[in-house]
Amino acid sequence: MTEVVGASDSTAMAGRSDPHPRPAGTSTRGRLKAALQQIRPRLDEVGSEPDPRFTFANERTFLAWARTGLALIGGGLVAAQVLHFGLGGARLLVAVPAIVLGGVIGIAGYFRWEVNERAMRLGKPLGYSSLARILAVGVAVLALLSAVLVVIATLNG
Amino acid sequence: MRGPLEWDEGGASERTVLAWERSAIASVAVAALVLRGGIVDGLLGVAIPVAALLVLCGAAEWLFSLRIYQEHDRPIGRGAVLHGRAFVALSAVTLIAAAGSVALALTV
Repeated sequence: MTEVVGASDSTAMAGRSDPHPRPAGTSTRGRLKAALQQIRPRLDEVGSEPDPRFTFANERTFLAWARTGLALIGGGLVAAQVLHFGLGGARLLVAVPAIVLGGVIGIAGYFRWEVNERAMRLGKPLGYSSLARILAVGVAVLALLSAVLVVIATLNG
Repeated sequence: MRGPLEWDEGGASERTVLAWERSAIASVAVAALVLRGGIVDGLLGVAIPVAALLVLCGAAEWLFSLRIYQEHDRPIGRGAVLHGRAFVALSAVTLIAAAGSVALALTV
C-alpha cells in the first residue's frame, strides 16, 4: 500500500515567494485552510484507496447508524404523541431522551465513518468505538423507564 | 482479462445502493411523523420546514443511490468514490430533525 500522506498545494508552496499575492482575506483563509490540512488532511489526500468492498461496507455502516438515529427520533415522536401515562409530562421522560439520542447517533455515526475511512486508507487497524455501548445503554435505560412508567400508570388506574 | 475477484461478486455496491434507499425511506417516514406531530400539536411552523427538509433529504438519498450504482457498476479494483459531503449533509439533517422533534414533543 503506497503512502501518500498529502500536503495541499498551498502547504507545499509555504515558504516560497508568491509572484501573484492574493488579497489579505483570501491569504489568511488560505493559511488557515493549509494549517487545518496539516492537522487533519482531507480523506482523499491520505494514504491510498482501500479495497472498494471495505469502503462500501464502511458506507453501509454509516447509513445503518443514520437509520438507527432516525428510528430513535421517530420513536421519540410517536412516544410523545401516543403514550398517555396519566402522570403529567411523564411521556417526555421517554420521548425527549430518545430523540436526543437519535440526534447524537446521527452525528456520531459520521465521525465514526470518517475515523474508519482514514484508518483504512492508512492501512491502520480500525479502532474500537463506544458508540455501540452508548446506544445499548441508552436503549436499555429507555426500556426500563418505559416499563416503570407503565407499571406506575397501571397501579394508579 | 478480468480476474475472478475483479468484479463485485459479493454485490457490495448493490447492497450499498439498497442501504441508501432504506435510508431514504426512513427519512420520508420520519418526515411523515414530524408532519403528523405538527398537525396534532398545531405547530406547523416547525413541522413543515423539518418535514420538507427530511423529504428533500430522502429524495436526494434516492437520487444519490442511483448515482452510486452507475459509478460502481464497474470492475471492483478501480476504486470507490468518497461521499463525505453527502454523509455530512445526512448527519446535519438528522440533527435538525432531532431538534425539530424535541420542539414538537415539548409542545404536546
